[in-house]
Amino acid sequence: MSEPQGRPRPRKAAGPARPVYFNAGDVDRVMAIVLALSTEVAALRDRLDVHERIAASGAVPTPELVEAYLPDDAVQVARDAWRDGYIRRLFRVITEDVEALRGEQTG
Amino acid sequence: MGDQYRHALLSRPTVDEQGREAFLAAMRRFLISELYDGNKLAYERRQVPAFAAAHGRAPQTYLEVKSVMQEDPYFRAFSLLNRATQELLWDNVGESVERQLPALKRAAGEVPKAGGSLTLDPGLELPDYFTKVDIHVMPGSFHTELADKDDLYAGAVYDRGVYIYAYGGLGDKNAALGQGTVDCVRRRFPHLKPRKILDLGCGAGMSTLPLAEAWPEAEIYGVDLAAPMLRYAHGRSEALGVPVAYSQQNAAHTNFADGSFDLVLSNLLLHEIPQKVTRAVIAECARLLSPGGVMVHNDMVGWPTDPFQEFMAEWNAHHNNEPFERGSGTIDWVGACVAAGFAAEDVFLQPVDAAYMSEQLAFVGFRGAVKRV
Repeated sequence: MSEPQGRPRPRKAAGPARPVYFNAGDVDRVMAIVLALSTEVAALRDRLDVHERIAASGAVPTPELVEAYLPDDAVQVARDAWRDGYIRRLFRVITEDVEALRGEQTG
Repeated sequence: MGDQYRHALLSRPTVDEQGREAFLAAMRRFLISELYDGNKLAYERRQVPAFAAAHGRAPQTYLEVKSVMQEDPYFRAFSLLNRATQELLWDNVGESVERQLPALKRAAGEVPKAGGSLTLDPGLELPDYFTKVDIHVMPGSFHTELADKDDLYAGAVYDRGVYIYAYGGLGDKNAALGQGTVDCVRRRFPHLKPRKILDLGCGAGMSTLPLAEAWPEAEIYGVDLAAPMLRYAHGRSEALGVPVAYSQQNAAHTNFADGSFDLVLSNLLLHEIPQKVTRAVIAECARLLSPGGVMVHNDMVGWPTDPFQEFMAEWNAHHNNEPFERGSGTIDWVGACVAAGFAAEDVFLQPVDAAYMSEQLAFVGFRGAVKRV
């Protein structure tokens, strides 16, 4: 631990309020980009799953083997479960709003 | 989501494309089965009290509901995710199909023949209501072609896209809507044995094929405005071994002779066309039906009057590029059929629960009429 030196450093500069650079439509754009990125993460995760399963069979996951891989039902079920959990984690800030409203309703 | 049936014309996504499609299908299910109901809760628990505090009463019109809901953080987030998911869905499926278009065109040329036919009319005028708004926010809608020859891009995108949109809820051949129409006709008219059946606005033929399964002796015809949908429908039907006579025609004025059909139907056509065109379609049905023949349309059967439900219906119409939904839901069905020559007592309206979005699409079902013997 460092030695206390008195007052904490200032973190906000005195002067006019921080400028606002974005308009309302910009937030829409950012959220759309987040969703597109989330789509890519999910696809990447499925691709990683293919790699792991090919590797588990003792083969080397080449691009050709990865494209040729067909998931069986058990693999699909496991992926569906992961995806559902992933979506819930992504949008937690939205679902907790409705949970709070539901709490008011039941409580 | 289970696997879609792999007929010869179905797009074959790469591993990455499959991953994106699976995520977007999961998003659709999450939006509809988990997030959707929260809007009503946000309205009742948060926005009605706020409105009442300011006005001394609850909102009484859908526009008043809109004025508060468009400020609600939950509704805003839901709306954005819903729209962004839909745009990503079409864009990802579109990219996948665009990549495969040459292969899909070859596949269409190589499918074993089932005995169906395809008649296109390059001179057919596509009406403004059909081309000015890309319905379902599907870029290029049903009519846009990418290839100069034998294009079937829109059909391939729609077949795969709808499957993901409904997260598999229409069955592995996207046949649930058509099957629902078959079930309705069989229940209401158990003695009807149609010899010739016409499917109006048949699109990719997904709802057309259950007709052949239900009435294997019947000749099945399908008409649509969009050539790329019909080329795909034809190839898909042949690949699935079902002979259908597809032709590019406007459902409001076809070239078939009077009294040609015992059953004329449509699935989700009427809410995509203006009221005046719907009236012309009904008149065309009356002309085409044989005595005792049946007309049935699987679509909206009304429009909500509760302010919140009406707001959500308006929201869906706007955010899903459905400019004619209200007009379709509010048309005086009996009056329109009577004006087309049907007798009022031969007209029917039958609301049902939706095949998917159960209990959320409250105003879907069957509207039809029987031609007097």
